Amino acid sequence: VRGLRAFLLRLAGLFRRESWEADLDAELHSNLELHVDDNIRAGMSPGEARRAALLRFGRLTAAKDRYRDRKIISSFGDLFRDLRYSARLLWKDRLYSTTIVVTLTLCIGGAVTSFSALYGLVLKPLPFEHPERLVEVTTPIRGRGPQTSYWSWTQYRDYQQHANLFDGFAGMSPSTLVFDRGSEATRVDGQLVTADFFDLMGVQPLIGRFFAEEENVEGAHRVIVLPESVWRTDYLSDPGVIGQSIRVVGEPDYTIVGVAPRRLQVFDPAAKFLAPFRVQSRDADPQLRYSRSGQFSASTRWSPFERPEANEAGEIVDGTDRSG
Amino acid sequence: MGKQTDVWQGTLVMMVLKTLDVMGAMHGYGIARRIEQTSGDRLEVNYGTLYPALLKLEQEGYVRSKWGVSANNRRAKFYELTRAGRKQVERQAREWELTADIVASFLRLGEEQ
Repeated sequence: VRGLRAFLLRLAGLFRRESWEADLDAELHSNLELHVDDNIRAGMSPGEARRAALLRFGRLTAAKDRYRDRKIISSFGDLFRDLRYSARLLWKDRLYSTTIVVTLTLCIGGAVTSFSALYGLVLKPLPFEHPERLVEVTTPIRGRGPQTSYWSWTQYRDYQQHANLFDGFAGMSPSTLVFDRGSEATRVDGQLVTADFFDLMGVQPLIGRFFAEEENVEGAHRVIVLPESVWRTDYLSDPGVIGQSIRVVGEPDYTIVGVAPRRLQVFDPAAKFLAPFRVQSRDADPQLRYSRSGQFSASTRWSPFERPEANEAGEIVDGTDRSG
Repeated sequence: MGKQTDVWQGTLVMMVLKTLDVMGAMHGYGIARRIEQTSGDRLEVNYGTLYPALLKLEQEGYVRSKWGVSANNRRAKFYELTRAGRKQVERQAREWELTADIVASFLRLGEEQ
């Protein structure tokens, strides 16, 4: 490390030649005068003292040359000579060199790969406010264990209204729309979210806005939010997309209202749109609270995220009435 | 005063560091004089090696320098040890003691039998 530091300073010396050369001259001159002073004190005449001192400093040109060599990397010739020498040595003992290179490659590669995987899977926090307080809520189903994807709208409303230990609840559900692009229709995968989803994650729109509560209702005007990646590639980062409409097969047009920042894409990197979850009247029927069929189709997965407000006690008690 | 010997390259660094360690901040000329005095004037410091050696120590971060005023009112560049420099003194002193010890035991060879 000290060697590297010295090397960098010497490299810098290349570019500041003026200042260090003046500095060295001043230093040598002052030291010469000190020597003269000493000699006078030792009883020499001023002329004699200076002559004697100059004799000692006589090799100063050599000193300066050495100093200069030390101060800067005098030529890149040295560097190339060193490189060529190293290359020749490596070539001379090819088997040995290859073994080392392969060993290093495997070790570094292995370490980097496993660390990246570990970091991505375990260590990397979610890119949201207080990621440690963000939890995924599961519903236990007898014989099948906790299920993240079986939530009914009513259940979600129950939690949202009664489970007061939490800052909020939000849900997300994969969905597919068929975009009508004039000559062709394209199936596009995205996510339906509840209006409070963005608030809960503490995310602001890049441009435009996110959804309003009333847009979570069937029959509301169709709105859509584009993920940042889609906006950047398909719409060339055009801020004018806000207010444009997208034609969708079998549905009224959707209006683009905002662009969501990239970090929201951790939930579904492949999602090409975010749209409000639209509750249909039958979804709100309390009788259907715990019956999965008829509320959300089998493909509808419902994964509410909640953020416990106080879980120091180690347990989270929800306030919903499960007897219903 | 007997015949003066030139200081070996490697030993000079150790002498400079140790001198700064004991004396505190000093200018180049002072360091040279001090080394010569400590050796009982058996050594003569070559200025041509001293200044590059000081620069090398500074580049390696063992000493730092700044301009000041000497006791007899002359502007001079003063050198002092950094923390890394103080550690280096100890390390070098240990290494030299070890080396001297090894060399000495070789010189004693034959004497003991």
